[in-house]
Amino acid sequence: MLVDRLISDREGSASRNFIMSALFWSLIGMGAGLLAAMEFSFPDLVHNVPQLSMPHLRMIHVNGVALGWLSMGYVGVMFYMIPSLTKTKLWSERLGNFTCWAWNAVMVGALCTLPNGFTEGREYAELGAVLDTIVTVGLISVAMNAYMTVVNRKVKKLYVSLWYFLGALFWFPLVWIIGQRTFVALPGLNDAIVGWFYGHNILGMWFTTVGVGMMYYLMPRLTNNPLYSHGLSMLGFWGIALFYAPTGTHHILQSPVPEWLKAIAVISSIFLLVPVMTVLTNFFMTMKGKWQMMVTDLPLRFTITSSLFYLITCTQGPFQATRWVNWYLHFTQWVVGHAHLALLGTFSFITTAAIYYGLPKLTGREFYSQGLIRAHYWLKTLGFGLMMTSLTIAGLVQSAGWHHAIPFDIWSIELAPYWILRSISGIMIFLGQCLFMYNVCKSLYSKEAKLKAAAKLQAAEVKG
Amino acid sequence: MKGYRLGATGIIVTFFTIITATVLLPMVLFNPKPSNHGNTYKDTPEAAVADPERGRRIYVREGCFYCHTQFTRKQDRGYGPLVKAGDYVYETPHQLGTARTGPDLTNEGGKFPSEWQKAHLVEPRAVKPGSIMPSFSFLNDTDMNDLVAYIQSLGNNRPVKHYVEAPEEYQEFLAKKKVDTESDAAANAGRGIYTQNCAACHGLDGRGNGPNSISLEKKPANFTRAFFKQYPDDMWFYRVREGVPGTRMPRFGMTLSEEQMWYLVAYLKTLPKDTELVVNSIDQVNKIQPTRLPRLSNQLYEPATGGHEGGPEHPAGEHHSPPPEEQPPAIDSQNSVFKAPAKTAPSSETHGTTGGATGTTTGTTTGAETGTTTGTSTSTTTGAEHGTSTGTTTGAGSH
Ligand code: HEM
Ligand code: HEM
Repeated sequence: MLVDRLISDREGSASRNFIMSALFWSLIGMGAGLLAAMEFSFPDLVHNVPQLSMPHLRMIHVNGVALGWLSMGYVGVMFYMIPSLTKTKLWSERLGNFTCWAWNAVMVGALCTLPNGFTEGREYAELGAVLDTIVTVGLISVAMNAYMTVVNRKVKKLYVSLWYFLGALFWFPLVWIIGQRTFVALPGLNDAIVGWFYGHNILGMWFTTVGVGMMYYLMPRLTNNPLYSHGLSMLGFWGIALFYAPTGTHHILQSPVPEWLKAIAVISSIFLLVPVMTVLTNFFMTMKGKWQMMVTDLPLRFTITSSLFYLITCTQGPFQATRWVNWYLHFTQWVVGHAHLALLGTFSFITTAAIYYGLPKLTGREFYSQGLIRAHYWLKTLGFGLMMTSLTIAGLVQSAGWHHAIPFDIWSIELAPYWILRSISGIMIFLGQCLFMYNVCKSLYSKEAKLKAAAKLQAAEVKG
Repeated sequence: MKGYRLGATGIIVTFFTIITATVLLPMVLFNPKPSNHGNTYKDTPEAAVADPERGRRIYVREGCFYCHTQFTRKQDRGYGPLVKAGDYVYETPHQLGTARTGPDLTNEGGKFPSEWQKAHLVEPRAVKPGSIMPSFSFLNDTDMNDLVAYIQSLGNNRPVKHYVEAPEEYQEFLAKKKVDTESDAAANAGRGIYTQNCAACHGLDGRGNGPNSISLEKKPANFTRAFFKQYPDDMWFYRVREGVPGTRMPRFGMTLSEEQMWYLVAYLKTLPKDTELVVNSIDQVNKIQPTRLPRLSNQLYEPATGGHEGGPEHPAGEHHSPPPEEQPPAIDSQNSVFKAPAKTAPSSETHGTTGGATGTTTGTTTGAETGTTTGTSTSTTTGAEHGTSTGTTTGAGSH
């Protein structure tokens, strides 16, 4: 039956569908980012096509990678990890698959509306009212599914990853609803305050919390070491819960918003070092004695790289949240570098690790090629290193430019080499992602893969 | 189970406390009053032909705010007066912006003529070489006019005092200054220094079109732009002394004395700042002001006293100087020469109107100048005067 095919209730199908959709949208999102990056160097690359002008590409890019790639990937991975941690099935595969379709519909809607100029003009909340509502419904059904799975669990104690996942699924729908501001028109600066509460907490209460939860899951499993300390992990969790949410105003630290709000934001940004350092101490102590595994175990390699990027992100973050440093760096490409370090470096890497680890377990099929995984790793890591370097330097050149009152036209020409470097890095990253997609498709849908899986099943039966 | 219930309650309580403190509380406590300096969208001439409020929607639709901020800060020299909380009361959705890939637009209104803005939107690289702004040529005419009307309304109600400021330590130089930068005598001294040191790039009449400018990637500044009207003395001095890093503009602090640089400042201030007009037809050509050079005077100035006009030691200076009414002939004669070719020779149409006009202006002005200068000058600073005459007749530095 068609319904059974589309909204299947086979075990693991929701998770797999989410992951496959995430991979698809990652190509669209990163492709748009790449084209946007190239338009910095060749502004007339695409002429007279409003849909492909840089700002529209940027909307597709950010929505594509944040809502499409990362968020869908997160849901897919959670739908795999939550049942595995609770030793039950997902509460409802059908609901999960239905959410996946709804979410894909949102992404198609975004792809049709944003480039044609239907935007609300709010960063990270560009989508129109209808799409906002569907996302809200989608998030609530994901949360429902996750909570019910945990209620039905067969393990008594909740592992720390579950705390993170469940916390995120409570926080994020609320943050999302507050952040859209679809039906309210707040006066300018209040709009900005609420906007950055949302803009920051989509990062802090969704991307960070779920991502860290995934690290907590992967690190002990991949190394076969027990988690170093459960006490520390709880300290980290509560630290994030307390200090992440009020920091939004550090994005508008120099605008004329109330000083007390800025003070709260700066202080809690600095306090964020506490949870970050406890989390990382926990990881690195868990790795003790197993560092050499990075060489052979590719998902672990992605995980470690990701946690190292997390360390850099979160030392950079409090640093640039202080008034003196923000004074110099705000509005520059440095911040764009920080954004990519967090979302591309840290959280895309951990999602990738989770997919490389989870997909074979989910579908019973090994990856088609280990070589392609290695190529993916190096393209992404080197490409990202290049991107980070070029954006950071570009940011410093920019801010030196306006602090010395050099006319804009002059320092903007100075940035040309960095734009080219970023385009090159974009090509590498995009290529890496294409290899990833190819590898996954080859492993799941090719004839050899099917034969191999069948043989494995037979062997298992023979043994059994 | 008890433990988890406690945990869940903890999460809910902390989160709602935070929402109350950082989202709801600001909405209650923070209600800035409209400052009357926000955008009105109505008081610009463009508002008569286009709709700036619709223009704002196009600004949002096209996503301009991803690259342009509307948010000036204390350290941004060059973007105009600081914003205040009350400026944003009617701005929803806010367009504070997120990255400054392009310049800040808070006070953009009136910086350039509307025709320029339109040309810039259609083909940014035609008017700003090297710009990376995308072309918005796909906007139809109504959209484009509305958008330009919106741009012209930006910041218009804010009184502009200083766009730019020199670093604080330049107050000390200002305090030590001995030269009267308002005096014509100092300006005349500066003119020679300018011709020797600056004209090769900035052009004789300061239009940024000296012979070297052709080969420079980053074009020298055009001092006749209205923008330079608001340059205070210390800013001019700062620019001359430290140059512009990243460009070929040298640090003249290394080669000129402080006093010489103040003479330069005096001269730069006399360059006309209103001549950058848009010329649409041949009839308008005559309306362009010819370049006005500083008034000639016979006043003596002594480097030691800093060229104070009519200093007590030199009553002779006053005696020699012609009364102001007699001064204009030089300009008048330029005008008449200037008018002649434009009116009588239709051929100037063929080389583009502005080009023709500037060409004539420079030629005649300098000719007249040289005559008068050498004829009446009794000045002691022959070096500087020499600079002028050679500069104007044969080009910089070839004497
Ligand atoms: C300790 C943690 C962190 C702190 C204190 C912090 C601080 C900051 C600050 C102050 C800015 C604004 C800079 C400016 O505009 O001048 C910023 C921007 C940003 N941060 Fe972080 N950060 C942290 C971690 C993270 C993490 C974990 C993520 C991702 C999940 C992230 C993603 C971003 C993004 C995307 C932006 C750019 C926002 C925009 O302007 O569009 N940050 N961060
Ligand atoms: C193929 C690789 C990529 C390229 C070439 C690329 C390029 C770009 C470009 C050109 C921008 C606009 C910057 C500006 O406005 O100045 C941007 C912004 C952004 N990108 Fe990417 N990107 C890539 C991958 C990613 C990935 C994988 C993510 C997240 C998962 C991501 C998240 C973001 C975010 C959050 C912003 C907004 C930053 C801000 O507002 O400060 N990008 N990217």
